Amino acid sequence: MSEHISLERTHDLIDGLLSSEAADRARNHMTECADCRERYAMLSELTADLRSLPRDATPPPHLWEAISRRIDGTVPSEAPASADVLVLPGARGDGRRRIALTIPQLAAASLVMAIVSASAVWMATSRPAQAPVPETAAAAGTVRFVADAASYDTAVAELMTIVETARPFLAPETLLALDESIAEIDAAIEEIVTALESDPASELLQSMLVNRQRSKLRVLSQVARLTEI
Amino acid sequence: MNGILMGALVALSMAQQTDTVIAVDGATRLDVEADGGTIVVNAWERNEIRVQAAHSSRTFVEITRTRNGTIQVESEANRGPAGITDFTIMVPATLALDLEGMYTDITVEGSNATVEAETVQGSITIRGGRGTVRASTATGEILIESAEGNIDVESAASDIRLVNVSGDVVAESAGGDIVFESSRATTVDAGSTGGRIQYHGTFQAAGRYFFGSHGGSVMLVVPEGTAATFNLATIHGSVTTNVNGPLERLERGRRNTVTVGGGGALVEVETFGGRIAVMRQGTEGALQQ
Repeated sequence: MSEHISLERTHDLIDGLLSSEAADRARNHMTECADCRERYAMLSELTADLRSLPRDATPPPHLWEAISRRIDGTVPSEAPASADVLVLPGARGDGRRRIALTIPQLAAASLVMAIVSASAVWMATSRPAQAPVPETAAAAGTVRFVADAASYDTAVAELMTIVETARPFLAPETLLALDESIAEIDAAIEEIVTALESDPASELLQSMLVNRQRSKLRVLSQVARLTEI
Repeated sequence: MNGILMGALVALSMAQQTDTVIAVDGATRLDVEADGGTIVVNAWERNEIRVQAAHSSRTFVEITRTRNGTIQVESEANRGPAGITDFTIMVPATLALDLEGMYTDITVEGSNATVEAETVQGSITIRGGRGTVRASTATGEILIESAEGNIDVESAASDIRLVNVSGDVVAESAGGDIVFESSRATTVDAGSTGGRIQYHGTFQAAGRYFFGSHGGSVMLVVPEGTAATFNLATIHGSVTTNVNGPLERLERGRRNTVTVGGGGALVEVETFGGRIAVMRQGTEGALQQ
């Protein structure tokens, strides 16, 4: 094998997915190629770190069920066995491995944790857009949103850690747009919170607050996910 | 990763142009990754995939086939990140597409399958798409046209335009506008923090629609014969409607209900400070002046 080992193939080698013959060829190549050897070592270390993450990062079973329903309308019999792969609402379900090579290992670990938190808050605040809403409930303005301030703050903080870590890798225009978007959402949240101080029982304001919180989570999750490409 | 790499079909290195045709051979999905440049995917009649790419000499294109029926096309470099690559790819319309980039503009024309497109900085245009159609960009405009199914689009800062779409639509932009034209969506969940939202299209009798903007305006253009209940709520904004005569009295901070055609579709509109306008089709022009 004279050509370099591709990224995917390196991952497969680490995961033991290559045939013994292909794995031997790859290892032989690495004895002569420092670049591939270094990449293999770096990815091995990163993979080991990810696998050593605490198992309590696994979302609780009820959350997993809710996420699964949202993804494909099915309910798994049990929570996923591993915390290595997490599926966010809207993310692909093909289980394709995605590792943030442009972000230090700490960020990769944080991403897993942040995704768990964000998923929990996301599920708690998502509007069941495709589920029939009882007309009487909607007309009466029944509260359909649940905001958990602590969970939300945790999710935002964790996602912000990812975004801040990714910041050096983002173009100035992207950073500007991101900062403006977050600032706009924060200003909106502040306006709503101020209004809620005057009218704390307003269901409309509460739902608006959750919608804006959801927007912030969505933007942060989006950037965290995209910088993982 | 579900697929196990079977082997590189093509690895074309140290060339400034790549142009190759490969058989679909049972593949059901095409993944394309390009850190920078453009990804243009057009549907054609042939049961083959043609990959054309313009790139620098230090960048090469790697095409692999996995056992789970996916063909992966990726720009790579032997050292460091791949350079700018402009892909033009022809595919059968039924091939599912998963397109990813960092600083990449993505365009899909004529697909009749699932389309997923993600980029950090770049525009996304998808004409066609069926089943699941997803588009996500941090900074770039999104145009989705003639897509059907579960449509989910997000742009952190830029405008989103959906034309002639049907099915279930989720659209969100923090700072950009969201505009629906000739929509036939059954459910809509559209939210913007500072942008305006416009909806031109039908409201299905069993449909559910939500439009929310914090500071921007929301305008719905309601076709003749619509049967719907509109719940219109604003804190500091205004409400203008003529679908069932003017609103007698606006109650701020509460849902103001307007029913046309005996009800049917449930349409909720919320703004904090933006104007809400729900207008009969053909009369919206006066409002915009």
